[in-house]
Parts: sequence; C-alpha cells; structure tokens
Amino acid sequence: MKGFRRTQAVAALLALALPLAACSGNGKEEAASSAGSSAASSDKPIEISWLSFNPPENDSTPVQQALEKKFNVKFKNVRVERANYDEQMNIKFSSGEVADLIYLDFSPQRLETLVNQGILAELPEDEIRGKMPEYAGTIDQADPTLWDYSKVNGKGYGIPVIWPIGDLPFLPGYNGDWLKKIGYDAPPTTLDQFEDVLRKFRNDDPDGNGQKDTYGLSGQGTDARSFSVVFGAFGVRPDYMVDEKTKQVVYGLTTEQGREALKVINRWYKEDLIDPEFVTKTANDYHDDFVNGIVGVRDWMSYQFEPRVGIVGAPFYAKNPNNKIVVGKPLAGPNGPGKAYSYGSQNAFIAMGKQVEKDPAKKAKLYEILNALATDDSTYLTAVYGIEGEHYQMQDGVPIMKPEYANENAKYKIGAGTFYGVFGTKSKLMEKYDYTQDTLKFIDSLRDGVQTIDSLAVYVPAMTEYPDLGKLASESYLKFVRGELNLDADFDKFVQDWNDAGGKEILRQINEKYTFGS
Amino acid sequence: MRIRPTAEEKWFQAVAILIVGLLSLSILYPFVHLISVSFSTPTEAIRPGFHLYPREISLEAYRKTFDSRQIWIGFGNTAFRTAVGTALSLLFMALTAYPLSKRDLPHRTFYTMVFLFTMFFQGGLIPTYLLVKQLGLLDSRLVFLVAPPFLISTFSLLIMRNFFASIPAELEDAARIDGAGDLRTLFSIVLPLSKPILATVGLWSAVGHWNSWFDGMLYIQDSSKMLLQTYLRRLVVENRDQDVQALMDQMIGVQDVIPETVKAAALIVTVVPIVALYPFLQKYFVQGVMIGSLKG
Amino acid sequence: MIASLRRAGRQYKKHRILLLLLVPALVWYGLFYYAPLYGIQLAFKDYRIIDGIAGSPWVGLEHFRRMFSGTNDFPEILRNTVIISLYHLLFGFPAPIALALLFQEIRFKRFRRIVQSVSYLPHFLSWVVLAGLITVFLSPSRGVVNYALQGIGLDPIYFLGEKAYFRFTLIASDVWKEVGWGTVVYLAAIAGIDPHLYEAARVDGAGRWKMIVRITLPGILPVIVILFILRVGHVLDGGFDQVLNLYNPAVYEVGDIIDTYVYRVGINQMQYGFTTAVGLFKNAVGFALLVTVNWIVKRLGQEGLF
Repeated sequence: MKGFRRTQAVAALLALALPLAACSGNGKEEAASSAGSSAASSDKPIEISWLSFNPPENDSTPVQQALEKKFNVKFKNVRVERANYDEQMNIKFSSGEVADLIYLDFSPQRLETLVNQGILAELPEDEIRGKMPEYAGTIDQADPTLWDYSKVNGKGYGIPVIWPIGDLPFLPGYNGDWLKKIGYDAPPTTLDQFEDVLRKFRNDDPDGNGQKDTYGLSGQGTDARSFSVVFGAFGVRPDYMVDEKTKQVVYGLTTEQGREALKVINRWYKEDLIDPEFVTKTANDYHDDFVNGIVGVRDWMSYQFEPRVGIVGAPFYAKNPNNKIVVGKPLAGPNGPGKAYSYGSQNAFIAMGKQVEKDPAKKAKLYEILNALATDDSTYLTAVYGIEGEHYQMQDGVPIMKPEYANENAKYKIGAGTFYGVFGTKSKLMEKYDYTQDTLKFIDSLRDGVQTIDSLAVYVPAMTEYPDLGKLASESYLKFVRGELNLDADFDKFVQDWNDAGGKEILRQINEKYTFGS
Repeated sequence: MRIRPTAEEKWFQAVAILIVGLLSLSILYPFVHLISVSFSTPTEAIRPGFHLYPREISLEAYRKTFDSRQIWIGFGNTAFRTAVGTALSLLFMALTAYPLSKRDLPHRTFYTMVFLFTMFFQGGLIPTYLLVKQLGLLDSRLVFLVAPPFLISTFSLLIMRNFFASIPAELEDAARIDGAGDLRTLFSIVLPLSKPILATVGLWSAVGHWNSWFDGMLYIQDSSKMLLQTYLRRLVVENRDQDVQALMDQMIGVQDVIPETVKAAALIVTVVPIVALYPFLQKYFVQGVMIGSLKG
Repeated sequence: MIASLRRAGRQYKKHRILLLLLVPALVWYGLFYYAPLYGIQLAFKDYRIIDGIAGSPWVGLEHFRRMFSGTNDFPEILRNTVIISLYHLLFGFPAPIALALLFQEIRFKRFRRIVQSVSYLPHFLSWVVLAGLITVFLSPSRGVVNYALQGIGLDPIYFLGEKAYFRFTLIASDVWKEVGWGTVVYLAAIAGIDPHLYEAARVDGAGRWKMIVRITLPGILPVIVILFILRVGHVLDGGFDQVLNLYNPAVYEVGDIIDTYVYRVGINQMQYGFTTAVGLFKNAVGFALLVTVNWIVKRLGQEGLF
C-alpha cells in the first residue's frame, strides 16, 4: 500500500482535469505477460489459470493438491458465479484477464463472439484428435457433427464435450396409481388414448379426494420443451429442427405439423384438460406438481425419472413409496409413429485462452491434463469424486461418496465436482463410474425403439441481426393455445410475420452453412 | 399531561391499526413460510398448501448450510465491511453534505451538479474494473470500502444535505458566537441534531454493504476475503430464465440439485442478522429527538 | 470582470474550511466516476476487446438505430416502460408517506415498533426469490389470494397470466415489498418536527387530521420534494428485476420494458456497445426530466435539488 495515497491523489487530479483523456489500459499487455510467465523448465510447475463452473471454496483443496502434484502444475482458480457466468467472464476478458483453460456452455454463438474478439486459441480438430485420440473417438461415435459446431470460419476453437445420456428422449412419465385407477394396465401409445387418459385424469378424480383438482398435463411456459409429447406425436419440436424429408432446417412451430399439434393443444386447453397455469410455471414447479399428485403426466428428459437419482424420480419415490412412475413411449399421431424431443449429445466446449497459442509447453500440458481427465481412471475419480478412502469408497466398481461429503456444499469444499472434473459424467469412457448397474439398466430401457429429434445448437449472423424473433414466436404460440388467435384463420399470417421478421433469412443462412442427415 | 382522546382520535387509531395490522400479516406469512420450509424435510418442503410450521422437522438444511469454514470467513468479511464501511460512509457523507447545505457556499449549484451528474452518467463496468485493477485494489478488502457505489452514495448525500439545511441557523450562529469553527459546529451542533437522518443513511449503507455480492464476486478471487453473499448465493440463486435453466439442467450430473430446504435456510441466514439491526435504530426515529438533544 | 473574480476569491477565502471539506469527495468522484467516463464512448463504438475501448472502431449511431428499429415492438416497449414507471410514481411513491403517517397515529408503542420492524422485512428478499412465492400465492387454483376472492364471491383471477391484471400486479407487489422500507426516511423527517407545534395545535383544538395536514405534511414536504425529483429521473426504469422474474409471453404486450428487451437481446453476446447506448438514452432522458422538474419545483416556490 506504500505510495498508494499519492498516486491516487495525482490520478484523481488528472482525472478531474481531463476526464476523457484518461482512457488507458486495454489489457493487451496483461494477456501477453501472463503468457510469458510460464515458459519455465520442465521441473518447475507450470502455472495454469483455470476457469470453469462451480469453483472450489479455497485454493488448497485436497483435489487441487492431488492434481497439481500429479501433473506438476500450479492451478490459479478463476472464480465466476454460475448464475452470472457470462457477465462476469466477459468483464474479466475485457480487462485482459483471459484464463488459460475456459469452460463454456454449448453455445456456438458465444464461441463465435469470443473467437471474433480474439480471445480464444485455435484448437484444430486434427490436433485434438492427435492429443486426445480415445476421447475424440467417443465424439465420433456420439455425433460427428459436433466437430462442426466448434468451428468458426473453418477453424476449430473448442473441444466438444458430450453428454453421453443427453440424447435420451423426453418421454411421458405417468403416475402409476392413477393409470391403474382409470383402468389402464399399460401407458397409452396413441394420441387418442393419451387424450382419453387426460380426460379421465381431469374428471375421474384419480387421487380420490372427492374434488376436481387434478390435471393430466401441464407445461413450463412457452419453453421449447413444453408439450413435447404432443409436438412429438406430430414428429416436430417447436424450434429449429431438421425436416425429415427435405433434410433442410425448418422452424418446427411454423410447419404444418406444428399447426396440427397446436390445434390439439388448443382443443385440450378449451376442454380444460391442460393445467391453464402452465403459462407461469417453471420446470421445477411442474416437477413438484407431478410429485405431489396434482398433475398426472410429466413429459421430461427420461433419465430424470430414475428412482434413486433422477430430479423427478427421487422425490417422487421418496414421497410415494408405494406408487411408481410408468415411463411411456412417444405417442403415435394421425400421421404415423411419433418421435421424442431430445437435448442431443452436445454439452459444452473446452477452450483455451489466446495466449496459450504462443506457449507450446503449456498447451501440451493442458492437453495432457484434459486427456487424463477424460480417459484416465484415477485422474477422473480424483477430479470428480475426491480422494479414495477419504471422500469416497468404491462399491461394486462405483464410487460412493461418504455421507459427510454427499452434499453439494461438501464438494466445493474438497474441490471435487465439475470445476477440475470438466468431463464429470460427460465421458463415455468413464460412464462406468457415474452410474450404478441399476441406473445403467434403466438408461438402456429408455432408448429402446425411440426416434429422437435433437436440439440444433446452430448459429448464423442473422440471429444477431434479428435478435428478438423468439418473442414473436412465444407470444403467438400462447395466443394459439389459449384461443386468442385462430389456428385456421391466423396461422398463415403468423408464419408470414415470422418469416418477414427475420426467420426466413435465418433459415436461409442455416441451410447454407450446415448440412444435416446426409 | 394526559389528554383524553377525542372520538376522531379513536377512529383514526382504529383505522391505522387495522391497515397496518393487515399489511404486517400479509408480510409475515412469506417469512413464516420460509422459516417453516427451512426446518422441513425435503418431501415436506415441496408439499402444496400453507406452511405455517414444519410437519416433519429436520435441521439438515442448516447443517448443510453451515457445513463449511467458508461461511464463517464470509461472515467475518461481510461484518467487517458493513461496520467499517458504514462508519466511513457516514463520515465522508457528513463532511461533504455539510458544506453543500450552506446556501452561501460559492458555486454551490455547480458542486451539487458535479455529484448529481454521476447518478445518471457513468462509464460502465469495464472502465471501473480496469481502474480498480490499476489502483491495485483487486483482491483487497479495501475495495469494498472505497469502490462505488459505496463510500459516498449521491442519493444519501443529497438527502443528508437537505436535513442539514433544515436545522435552524440560529443554533449554529450561537455556537459560532462562542468561537466554534465550521468543523466544531458540525460535530457538536449539527450532527447531534441529525441523529434520525444519520440512522437512516447509516441503515441504507449497512444494508447495501450487507447485501452486496457483485463486487465480492468480481474483485475478489482469494477465498480468505470472500463475502457471505458470495457463499450463500450459490445455494439460493435459481435462475428463472428458462433458457438458462435448460443449460443448467443439462449441466446436472455430478452436481446435486440444491433442495428447497437449503435455499430457504440460506435465505434465513442472510436476512436475519441485518434485519436484527433495525430495532436498535428505532429509538432514533422517535419524535422530539432533536429537541431532546438540544436541551441535553 | 476583475471585480467579480475578486469577489469570488473573497468568497472562497471566507468559506475555505467548508470548501476544503468538499475536496476529499471531489477527488473520490473524480477518480471513481469521472475518470471511467470515457467508457461512454462505447455507445458509439463496436467494442472489440483486443483493441480496447479507445481503439475500437466508431459506428456512429448504429446502436441507437438498432435500439429503435431492431425490433418492430420498440414503440410498444417504450410505452410499457413509461406507463409502468408512471404507475410506480403514482401509487408506489405516495404509499410510504401514507404508511409513515399511519405509523405516527398508532399510540401503542410496542405494537408500533413491531409493525414497523415487520413492514420492512420483504425489502430483503430479492425478486428472484419472491417471484416463486408470489406465483404460488397468486395462483388462480391454489393461491391464498384467490381463496380470499372466492370467499367474497368473486371468480378467481390469473393475475400473472392475464394482460388486464399484470400491471396492477406489478405495482401492488412492488408497493407491498418496498412500502415499509420506504417509510424510514419519512420517519426520520417526522422525528425532526418540533413537538411543540403539535402541543400548540392541540390547545387550539385541532384534530388528528388537521395536525397531519397542517403540521406533519408541511414538515416533511422538503424531503418529499427531493425524493420526488430524484424519482422522476428514473422514468425509463420499469423495475428490471421484478419484471424479468414475473413476466411471461402472455403479458409481453403490457409488461415488456426496455431493460427486459435489452436483456433478451444481449444474452449470450458481448453487447457492451448496445447496452451502453441504451443506458445513455435512458439516463439522458431521465436527467433532462429531472432538470425540468427541478425547475418547475423552484418556480412553485419550493426548494429544489440545485
């Protein structure tokens, strides 16, 4: 703090006199200097700044120490809040503090912005394949198009992170007791049967409390995942998707099938078969309503119905130990068999700061660590679960956290979880540690004979040019469902408006840039 | 002197009590709800309907919330910045508001404008961050005390100035005749007469410091200097934006979902200490303080 | 000219202690507010991190063009912002004054202390947290508010999902959240009123109502005026946190405000230029209004801000 006062006072006086002249420090030097500091000999630990989700509580956690020792590095943890990730990350980047390793949500739009801003190092696909061959193989297996998403102007900038179970279908989960009560031994398979179930869930008092206070189906606003079971019966999802016949990308809500699906939802809404409060519900609200026996069907990411760990399943079975969730299949619609909404395998990007390009030793080290995190058993277990015997015990080949570490807070405390373990539950090769045999069996049963429509995480410049197109879509969506707009009279105008407001241009650019399902 | 209330007074009384009572009840319920949920089992917590008391009691949520040394470190840092920061703010604001309250101060309007202008025109986050960095304040607790919007709040400053201006000039003149300079007058006459507004502005400042999390997140990386809010927010904040939720939903894997009970417990832990401050300040809001301190 | 300089010099000399007291604050404002002001040029630039703020290319009024014509809805959004903000001014502003006056009327000291403490509680809950609770309380099927409505024979209302009720819900919930907290400054002002005035009025036979109108309100009027002027400066703020957490596509037509629009547009992108431009627009309008209202207030014979 020596000399602080004087510099402050001088700076202030200057600032007062010439406020606009005080524009210095664009941070260029900063990035350069932090890059230079790590060109050290092989026995001196390389310092690596690491930016990822859910940072550890302090800088001397057991997991950090174990990894540092193993790789002869020194981690500088960059802490950014999950709920505010973009904003805080951008400010740090803007002031020249670019981390060496950067974990990013799977958003090609953000990736492109960061690349154009000169923040990310180039990571050519071949280089990744060379440094992480086994992991690259699992990407090819899951979805080879993921490599394309990580490219800007033909050059790669991110290691795609896959979520091996991300392509599981969204399936309807039924309240088992209720199904039995209305006389269904098996879940409905067609849209007509489903409608019958909804009607009976609404009218036949399935919870037996003597009041008409139950619904069959709800939603979470105009989120693309709402009513996925209905859209799926018509083979669409209400956002960007690949058209089966033409292999072109279309916007599901504006298609003819989209109109038909909306017609069904609108009819059910009018008949009061759908919870009208879906408008203000969040996904979590809907989970709770299903668990509490207020709504009888939950159409959601089917893994979450898993009885022990699923977001929906675990509380459901805790609350209703004698009941069970009957997981159904996509419904057949009037045009044939249905499909299921799915997130798809894409999950995140791992990128490196621009300064790493000039530091081959550091780059090699980063690849070494990442490869080990994705493919090496002991590294994976340490990063994701902690130290064996201290934090977890192996049981039937699966790490089980000790009770005192089995909560979200304790993981931050020991440095385990997603921060260093960037491939936690995201590496096909390590899946054996993430799920018990029972859970794996459950997962396998879900994919059985279901065709999914995956998310397209596409980005084209027109999306920035017409940034608020989603508002038009979701406003109209809701008006169609609630009958404020007529699906015969007004739908064509909606499609026209959507196209004119930029939708047409966006689709044109997407189809120019990407090829799907060849 | 006790005078019997008139009919009008009784009527006023009844209406006031009724309105204020109803408002308080409507306000109390959400807190009862949160407290009840924080002491519940996870299944009880998501039960639909009223939560006046937990039907299945569990202290698990509090155990999880306090299951870390970090929360105590955070408490320490937040308490430090709240106490020291509020004291510094009051000092700086009083010293600044006093001259501004003098009508014959040369260029008074200009100086007021210099301050007021910054309420509307600011350089934004990036230049401020760069400045803090250049001053060497990153990872220093000093940043909590001196970086805007703390130290001097223009809003509070202007309110304070107005209160100072409303103090009868004769009182200050009397002190001056006794030979007191400007500073002595401020500390021995003006400030003792301004306890209600000092309490108000002090409360604003303390609450601002206590609740602040963004500066703690942005400027601090060293875990020994982290704030309570930085720690608790990771338990409480659930983003209601559906797109962000979708992304978080996809992230869930090795990270557990944070139960409603822990969210409620963390909220209670955040709110209770600062709320407990108010009753101590209430005595400064009683009518006649000004006159009382005059006589004393 | 020289004479006036000399006069100013004499003035400065006479008030040198007072002026000296201003110096620390001026230095602090210079350092932390005026020095970073160069960031405002981002409103006219395409910000590129590698070039820094000073080196980024100018784009003129591009960001402003985009704000007004980047969406067909901008007129609607601007209208919503102003209407919601005016409602806040009309109902939210007087509410704490009324409540502070009510507090003063309560003569059971302990009851008064308790309700005062209770009333300021919700200020401490963020809108993220409150939105969840409010959605539950206002639910047409299971919410406590609609139980009450049905109790007096009315139909349930979907407060958050119907255009007709949404703005009312915004204002009411904001008043509910902030009214108690808002009383603090007025209670401080009331505490400064000379009790002798009330005693004298009482001797003259004035009732409670007369005392409020003749003594209390005039006593706190200067504070009301200052707060009012400052509030007017925020006319283009409709309450971002609140709206973002409570609105939904069903009420976009009446609830979408400038800040929520900017949020939707800016998500996932580094839109510093755009957000700076919108902020500049909002604040320039606010500042202009503040200066205007201050002028009017002074014409009306009240003391203004400056």
